[in-house]
Amino acid sequence: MHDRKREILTDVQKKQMDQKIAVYKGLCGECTELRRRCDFSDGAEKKVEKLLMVNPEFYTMWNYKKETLLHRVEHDRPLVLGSGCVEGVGATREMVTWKWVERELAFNAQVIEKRDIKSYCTWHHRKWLLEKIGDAAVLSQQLRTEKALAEQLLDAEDRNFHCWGYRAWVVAQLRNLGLYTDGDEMAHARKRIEANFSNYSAYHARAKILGALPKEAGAARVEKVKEEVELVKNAFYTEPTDQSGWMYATWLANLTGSAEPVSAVLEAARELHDDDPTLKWPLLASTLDPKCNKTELLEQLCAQDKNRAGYYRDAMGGCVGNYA
Amino acid sequence: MQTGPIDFAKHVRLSEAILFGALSPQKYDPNRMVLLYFALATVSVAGKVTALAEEKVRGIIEWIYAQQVPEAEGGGFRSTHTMGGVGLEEGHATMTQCALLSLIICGDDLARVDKKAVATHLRKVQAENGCFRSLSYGESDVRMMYSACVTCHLLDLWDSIDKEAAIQYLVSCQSYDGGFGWHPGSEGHGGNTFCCLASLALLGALDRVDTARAEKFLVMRATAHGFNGRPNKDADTCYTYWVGTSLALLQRHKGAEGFVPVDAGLLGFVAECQDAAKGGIAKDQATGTDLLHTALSLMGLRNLQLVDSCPPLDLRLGCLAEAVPV
Repeated sequence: MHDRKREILTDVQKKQMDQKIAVYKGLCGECTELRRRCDFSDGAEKKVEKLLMVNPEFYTMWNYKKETLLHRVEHDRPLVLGSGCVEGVGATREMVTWKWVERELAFNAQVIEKRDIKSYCTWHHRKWLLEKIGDAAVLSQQLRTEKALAEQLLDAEDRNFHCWGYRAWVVAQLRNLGLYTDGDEMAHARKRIEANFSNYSAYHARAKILGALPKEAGAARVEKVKEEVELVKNAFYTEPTDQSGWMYATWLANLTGSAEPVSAVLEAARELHDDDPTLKWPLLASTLDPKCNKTELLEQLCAQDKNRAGYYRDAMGGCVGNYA
Repeated sequence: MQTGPIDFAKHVRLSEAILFGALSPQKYDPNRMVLLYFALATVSVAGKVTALAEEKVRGIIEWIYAQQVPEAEGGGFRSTHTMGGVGLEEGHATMTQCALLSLIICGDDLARVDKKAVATHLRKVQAENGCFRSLSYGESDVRMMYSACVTCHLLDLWDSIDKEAAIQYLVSCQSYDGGFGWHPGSEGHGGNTFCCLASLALLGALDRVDTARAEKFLVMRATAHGFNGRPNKDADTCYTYWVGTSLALLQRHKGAEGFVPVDAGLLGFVAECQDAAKGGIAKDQATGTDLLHTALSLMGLRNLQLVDSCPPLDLRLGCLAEAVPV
């Protein structure tokens, strides 16, 4: 429903559109009937794939694909490869399953890459496919491939939550296999941040790990947070009007209860404020200072961050907690 | 009626054209029930449902009930008749929600809903982790959680689900910045924040999360020209609803009435995203209009009391409060 360009169609374009719709409707009718008849043949599948390339949101057709795969595995139907050699003679069910899954993953990737990178049911189908892989070695190899796919797509669109979410699921599976660590996760997020200091999704990934550090780690934990503040400061200085870094940093400052991270953030806020007193986020961050004149700062915020003046007035009246 | 620069009449005409034209039979749309709801919601928030021809409204009601799935096939409602037939498609969590809301908007009392079948559907789609799937082998995330909670509320089916598991799942979706993600551990996002807060409100469990922090996340979505859904993203008119209604809900939860402490220039932003010729509202000025953005922009404006086009909506449900059968 999102992202169709606003345009006025000419008569010729309208006719072409009508033709496309007629073809699409015909295909829908055919595929619906094929499924009704439980047709799990190659011919049927070709039509379904054609339909999914046009409309990947047609979740029923992804379910039909699931049923098709399960049917093929159930009937131990090997995937016949080009040269006439029948793969799977003497093969285990796991091997047969994997061949079909592999083929399906390739088709699904085409839909994501060529048609719609934001289709929920398309991404879900990928997870379903991976859950069918029985062989541990094959699974860990494929998970690595999946991670690479998600990262390649994030290179193009670094806030896409489908990609972030899918990648998070994949690395959780790798973690369960002992093949992925917090260090790996921090490194990936850092790479994203260094490419774009406003990448809030990458800060989020780091927040999950830092937030989970046990309090018992004591000074080591504080050190990690201080280092993180230094990293985020790049965001403040690169683009002081972007709230991403500030939202993350103010949370970081309060995470450990130690005064040092707070001072580091306040210092940056003071510097940027001196440079330009109209900047909102340094003002807001300055309210973290236990010695500050909160009312005065909030008054300034009412003036500089007019959209949220009502919120700051609520804060002055004491009926908003935790607004920094 | 205070409507300012919003051309309700045009949006209603567009919705009617779709309701009685493009949305009528022969359309293979897996999201048809959702589109039906958005078209009806647009007419409803404009205060114009009673102006629709009675036999047309009855036609819609009959069509919706025809999408009801028998208990033996899973219960609930499917998206459209072309998806039906024995063993073809079970009830879908979001289609069920939209069917019920659409019936309510049309003035139906839900008496013909097979509650036992819907209960079966809900039990089938609730996952072990407490969240809900769209279909029994569909994806699960907080959108379907919200759909299930609306359904439970409207039909009083809370006993069919594991409420505590649902609440715990929702609690675990709150991110460090106060926003809620679509899965536990996911980035805070305006749309998912609404789904979680509204679900918690329906579950009577808003106190289980940090509502102050949620409010802060939402307040930070305001730009000078519309709400965005996440930090450093562009404004989009649909967040008028997701973020705006969430803020209104939290105000209500605090005991405050009406005043929402943020100004995002919404009337102007939404007005600019209208299609002056054809009616309808788009996500921004460069994109084509669609029913989702039309309905959500208008309902959002009403919930924020920036227009006064109809009686109050139920903030948790997305329909007139007075239309909900007792």
